[in-house]
Amino acid sequence: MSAAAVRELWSTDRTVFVRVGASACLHAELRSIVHDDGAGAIVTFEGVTRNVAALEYEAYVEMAAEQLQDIAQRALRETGALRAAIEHVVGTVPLGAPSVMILVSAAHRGPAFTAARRILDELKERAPIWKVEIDGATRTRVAGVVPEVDSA
Amino acid sequence: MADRCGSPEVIVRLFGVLREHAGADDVRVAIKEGDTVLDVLHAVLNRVPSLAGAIDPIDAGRSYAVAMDRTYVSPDTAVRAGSELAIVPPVSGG
Repeated sequence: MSAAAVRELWSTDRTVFVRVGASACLHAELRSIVHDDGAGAIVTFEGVTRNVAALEYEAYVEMAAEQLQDIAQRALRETGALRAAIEHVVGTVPLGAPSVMILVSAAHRGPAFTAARRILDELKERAPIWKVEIDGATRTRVAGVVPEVDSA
Repeated sequence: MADRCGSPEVIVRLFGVLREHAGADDVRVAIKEGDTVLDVLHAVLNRVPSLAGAIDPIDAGRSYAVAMDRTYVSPDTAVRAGSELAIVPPVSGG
């Protein structure tokens, strides 16, 4: 497990907040972070453990937070959504509990859904995070994706 | 960053299945002028032979990625002394 247990980042314009680390159940805080008087839509995505007793997450915490910030900023820029807040848990996430929360606000539902979807899809392709399925004494490493080189 | 003999070096962090193979979170390797990420990978294998089956340098960028200073880079990228590299096995977040 990474020694750097938690990394929190704000974008300089304060429209994107990212947290990678031990679970902090931040949903209420994330909800207030994406509040915007111009927002008519807030999309909340939760990824939760299914089918197995628990998932155990490991992360390159510092890099994962920076990658997620870049991903979210790009998603806002490309969709016109207003604000994004992301929490990804490191450590053990039991059945039914969330490992990732993505909240996006936008003037209308279209950009909010699109940006949230894009953030999740890119998180899965690029964020240096790994999971193992835990079922009794059985530990199964989940197959993953090799990230592509960052464009300059 | 330099070792006790004053030679420039980089730290290479290991994650997931690679950390398990190596039995360590990171490894430090000496570098010389003009070394690339690929040279560092060969040096890592010399230091940690147990990674031989897991990170064939020829597969860099295909079966695993490499990051330098928290950016994904190609194997021919020149390394800078004091950099933090990471060998990134296939990611599975979310």
